[in-house]
Amino acid sequence: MKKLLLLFSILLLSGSSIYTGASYIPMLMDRSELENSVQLVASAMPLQNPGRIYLYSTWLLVVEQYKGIHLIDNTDPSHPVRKGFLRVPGCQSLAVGNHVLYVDNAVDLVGVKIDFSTLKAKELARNKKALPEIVSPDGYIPWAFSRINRPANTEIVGWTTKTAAL
Amino acid sequence: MKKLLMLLALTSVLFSCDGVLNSGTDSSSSGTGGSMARFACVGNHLYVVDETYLQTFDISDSTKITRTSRIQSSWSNQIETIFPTDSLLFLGSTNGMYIFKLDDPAKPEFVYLYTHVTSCDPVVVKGKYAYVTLRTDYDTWSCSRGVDQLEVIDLSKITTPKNVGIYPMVNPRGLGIDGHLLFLCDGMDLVVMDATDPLALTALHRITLDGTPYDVIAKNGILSLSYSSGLKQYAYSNDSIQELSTIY
Repeated sequence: MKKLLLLFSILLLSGSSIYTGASYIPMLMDRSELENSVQLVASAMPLQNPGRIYLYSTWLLVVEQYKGIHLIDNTDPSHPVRKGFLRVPGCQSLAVGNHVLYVDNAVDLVGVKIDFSTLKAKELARNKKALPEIVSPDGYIPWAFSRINRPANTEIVGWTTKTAAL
Repeated sequence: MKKLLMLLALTSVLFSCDGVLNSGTDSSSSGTGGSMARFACVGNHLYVVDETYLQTFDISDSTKITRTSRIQSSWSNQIETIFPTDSLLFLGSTNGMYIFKLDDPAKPEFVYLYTHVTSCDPVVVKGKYAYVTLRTDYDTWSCSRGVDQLEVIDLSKITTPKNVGIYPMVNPRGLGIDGHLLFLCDGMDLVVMDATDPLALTALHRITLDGTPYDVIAKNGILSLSYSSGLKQYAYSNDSIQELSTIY
């Protein structure tokens, strides 16, 4: 019976794409985990899905879609150096104001102080649910994954294709 | 089993119902965003656009992010990008370019909506001209009926902006301007245009990349460009451009 249920849910999931055209499923994170998720990794990460860019002093900040921000030392633009990665699940945008980096951590707006010389980050402020939920690349959130239909206290931190998820 | 089938049928019905939901400034304490930006800091305020809202947050106290204003756009008009100057905000949206003034930086005030056919469009402003790229995007319903072009808009009177030029493009995204050089991400290419005369732009270079360019920042003779494969940088002066580096 369990197997049957699993089969049915898979059928339902794949069936939904036939009905709705939805071809993505959300990556979910518990709220408690989200609120402790912004962390600086002091080692370089490859650029996989680079998005928006931001110039701050001699640093180039490059958004890695849904994952965080590459911190690139651009003192010499002929030899930019990937120095670290600020992990920010659900990240799509950023800006710096009064020397504080503001970034979207899914639906939360977060202020982070980065010490670029020691490559350490400290979260200074968080405005919870200040931003709308991340919509799928199709431009909406399928009903099956709306807040009332997914596990309680979870936030959407990105979207992945069904084949990749299964 | 009957119950399961009923659940199945019910869920299918429910599933079938979805689908209806549907840089500017620079100072030492902030930085420079690309034209695809959705966040912008001006002084003690952070401006954030999403599909539906322009929100303003007070960031004068670094331990708090306090909302001071939230302005909703019409349901059919999705906001895409924000470009700030010291006194104005330019928002690119699917229906056109919004202009807001910052007389009270905590509460942006609507000035004008410059409308065009439905497309997706970042905007940059230099002097009294705005440069807007309009793009069709067949993955996004809201942009799928648009056109692909660059528009130049005269902002001498911000209450009555005027179109002063249209240039056909392939599939433009981010753009940037420094001095007289205008840089555009267009399809798989980086396009450089001479904007010495904003009323008559001329194309200087079209460089094909090994991926799709997305966002650019042009500043102090250095062009930084994110694209699907990584990050490229170029040096430019007068009318020449030279690649400096690529990282992946």
